[in-house]
Amino acid sequence: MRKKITLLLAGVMTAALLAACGGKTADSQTKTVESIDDLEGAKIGVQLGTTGDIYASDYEGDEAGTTVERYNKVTDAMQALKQGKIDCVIADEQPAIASVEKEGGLLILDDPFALEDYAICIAKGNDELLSQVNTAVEELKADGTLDQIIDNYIGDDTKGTCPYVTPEGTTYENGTLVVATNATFQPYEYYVDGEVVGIDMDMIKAVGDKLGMDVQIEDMEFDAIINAVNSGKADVGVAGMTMTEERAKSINFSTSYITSKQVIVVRDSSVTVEKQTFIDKLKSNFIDEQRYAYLLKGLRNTLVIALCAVIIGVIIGFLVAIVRVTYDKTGNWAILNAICKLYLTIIRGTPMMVQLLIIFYVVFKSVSISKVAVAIIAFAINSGAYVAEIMRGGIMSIDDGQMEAGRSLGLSYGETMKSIILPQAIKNVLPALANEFIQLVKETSICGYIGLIDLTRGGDIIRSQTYEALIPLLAVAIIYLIIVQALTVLVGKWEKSLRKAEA
Amino acid sequence: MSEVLIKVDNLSKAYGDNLVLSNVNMTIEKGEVIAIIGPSGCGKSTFIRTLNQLENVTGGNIYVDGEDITAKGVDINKIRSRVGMVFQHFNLFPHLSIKQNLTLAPVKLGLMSQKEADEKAKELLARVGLADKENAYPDNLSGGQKQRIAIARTLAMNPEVILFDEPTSALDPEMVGEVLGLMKELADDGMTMVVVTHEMGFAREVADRVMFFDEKGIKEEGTPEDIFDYPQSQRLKDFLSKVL
Repeated sequence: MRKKITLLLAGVMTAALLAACGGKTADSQTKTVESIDDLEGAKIGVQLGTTGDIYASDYEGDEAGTTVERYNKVTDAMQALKQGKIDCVIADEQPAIASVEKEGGLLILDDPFALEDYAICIAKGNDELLSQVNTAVEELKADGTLDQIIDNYIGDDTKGTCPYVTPEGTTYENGTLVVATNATFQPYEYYVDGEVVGIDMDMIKAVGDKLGMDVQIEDMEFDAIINAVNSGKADVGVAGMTMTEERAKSINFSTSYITSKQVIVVRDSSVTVEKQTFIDKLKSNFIDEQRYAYLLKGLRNTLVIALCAVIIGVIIGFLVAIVRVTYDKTGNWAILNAICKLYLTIIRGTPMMVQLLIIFYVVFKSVSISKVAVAIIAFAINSGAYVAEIMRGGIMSIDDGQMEAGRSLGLSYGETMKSIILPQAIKNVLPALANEFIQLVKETSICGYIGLIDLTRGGDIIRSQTYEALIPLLAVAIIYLIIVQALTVLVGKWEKSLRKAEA
Repeated sequence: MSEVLIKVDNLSKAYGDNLVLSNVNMTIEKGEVIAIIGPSGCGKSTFIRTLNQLENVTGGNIYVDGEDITAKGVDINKIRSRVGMVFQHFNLFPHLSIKQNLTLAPVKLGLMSQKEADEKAKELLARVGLADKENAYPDNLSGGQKQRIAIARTLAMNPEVILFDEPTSALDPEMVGEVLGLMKELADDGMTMVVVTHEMGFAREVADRVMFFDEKGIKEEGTPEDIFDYPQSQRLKDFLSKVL
C-alpha cells in the first residue's frame, strides 16, 4: 500500500516538474514591440490600477494571447522589462521619461498610446470642496502658476528654475487638506530627502494656499487612493490620476489640470547599458540623498510596532486565556467565553493583512489617528489571539494538583490562579511569548499597505528612486535576518538560564 | 472522645451513570484516627475528597462541626481552611520556597501576619525535622521530605482534621518510614485524621478504627483487631490475604 502511494507521489511530482518546465519554455518566447499594432500577443507590463492598466486590460485574453502583468510600481514594471520578463510597459509619459533616463537600455516609442487628462479626485457628495478646488485650479491656470510648476519639473531649460512659492500673507484658517498620493511617480510625486515632491504636490499645495488650507500628504498604494478618499481618510486624491469613466463611477473628478500621454516603453537593443560597479550601486542606494534614512525610519517603526503590539497583545491574550480556562475548569463565564472564542476564530481564521486593512479603512475610517497607532492596534489584536492560546496552553500544562492544593488550603479560585497557577504558567510560556515577538517583527512587513513606512516600505521607496531591485531588497532582508537571528539567540540563552534556575 | 467532628449521612457519588459511592454513613469524633483501606477503584480516594468538597456529592450530606458543607451557598473556602489535606503527589508549589509554601495561605487568608506566619513556619519545619530547608525549593527535596513539608503546610493552617489521600504511595520504599513516623506523632498529639492507605501496619498500629471500602461503600468497619484478626466478609478476607 505504501509503495503504491510512493509511486503515485513520484508520478505526480514528475508531472508537475514537466509541466513547470513546459511553462517556462513557453514563457521565454518574447515578442518585439515596435508600434501599437504589435501589442496583440505581447506581454504588457503596467502599474496596478493606473490608466495603462485599464487600457491594456482591453487587450488581455484576446485571440493573440496578450497577457498583462500588473506591478505595484512603475519602476518594478521597468525592471521586469529590462530583465525580459515582459515585452513592453505602458506608462504615463513623464514617469516613463524619468525611468528611461535613470535606467538606460530602454526606449519610448514615438507614437503615443493614448492622450489623457489628469484630475484631482474628490469623494462623491463633497460638492462644496469640488467647486472650491475647480475654482482654484482655473485660477492657477489663468495666472500661469500651473505652467510655472510644470516647467519647474519638465523641460531641460526650465527644470529647477522656477519653484512654486506660497504667496505672502497666506493663512491656513480653513484647516488641513489631507492629500492621498502614491509617491512612486516621477515627476508628479516622488520622494526627495524623505519629502514627497513633484508637479502634483506643488499643484495641490497651490490649491491649498488658495483655499486657505494646509496640505498634509499621505503616501499609499495607488489602488488604495480612491478608497482612502471615499472613506474620508483623505480629502482629495492627487496622483497623476486620469479621468476615466470607470473611476468616475466611484469618485468625482475636478477639472483637468494637465494633459499627459500614455506611452509604450520597450527595450532599446541598440544601447548597451553602462554597468555600474557594485560600490557605485551601494553608494547610490544608501549614501546618495541619505537614502539609508528610509531604512532607519522604517526599522524604527517596525520595532516600535512589533514591541508595542506584543505588549498589548500579551495583555489581551492573558485576559482571554483566563476566561477560557475558567470556563473549561469551572463552567463559569459562559457568555464571556463565547465572545472570546468568536474573537479567536475570527482573528486566527483571517489573514493579518485583511485585518489590518479593515481596521485602517473601516474601523478607523473617519478617526484621525496615526498610522503607527493603527498598526499597533491591528497587530496587538492579532497577536492577542495567538498569545491567548499560548497562555491557555501554559495554564493547562500546570498539574491539576496545584489548583487542588491551593483550594484545599482554603484559597479561592481567583487567589489560587493568581498566586499559584499563573506565576508558574507565565514562566513556562515566556520563551513562546518571545518567539511571538520575533514572529511579529516579520509580520509587520505588510504595514506598507496602509502607507506606513516600515522597514520593507523603506526599502521600497529606495527601490522606486534608484530603479535598483536587488540591493534595497537584499538590505531589507538582511536587516530582518539580523534582528530575528539576534532575538532568537537571546531567547535561546534566556530559555537556557530559565531552565537552569529551575534545576 | 465523644464530640462528633464529621458526620457523613447517606452519601452517594456518581460520575454520570457510573455510581462510585452509595449510601455511605460515618461519624468521626474529635481526636480519632480513621484508616480507610480497600482495593483499587473502590472509591476510597473519591470518598476522602468529598470530605473537603474537592469532589461534590451526588446525594446525601456531610456535616463538619454540625455545618452541612454540601449545602448551597456554604462558604467552602472557610471550611477547607479547617480541613487540611495531604495528597499522594504532595502538590507543593514549585515556584515558592519551602517557607513561602507554608506561609502563603495563612497570610493570604488574613489568619496571620507575615511575621507570625514566618515564625509558625519555622516552628513547624523544626517539628517535621526540616528546619534547614526553609529557603530551599521543592524540586531540591526528596519525596519523603516533600511529603513532610506538605504535612507542615497543612498544619500551618491549624486544621481541626487532616485528610491523607494515600500519602506514601508515591514514595520510594525507604522514605515511607519517615512520613508514617511523622503521621504517628501527629496522631499521638491528638490530631483528628482520616487516612486512605495501603500501609496495613500503620493502619493496625495507629488507627482507632479501620474502614474497609468495597463495592461502592463501607463493607466492614471496626477496631484494627476486628478487621485484621477477625475479618467477617469473604471480600475482606480475600483482600487481606493479598496485601498481608
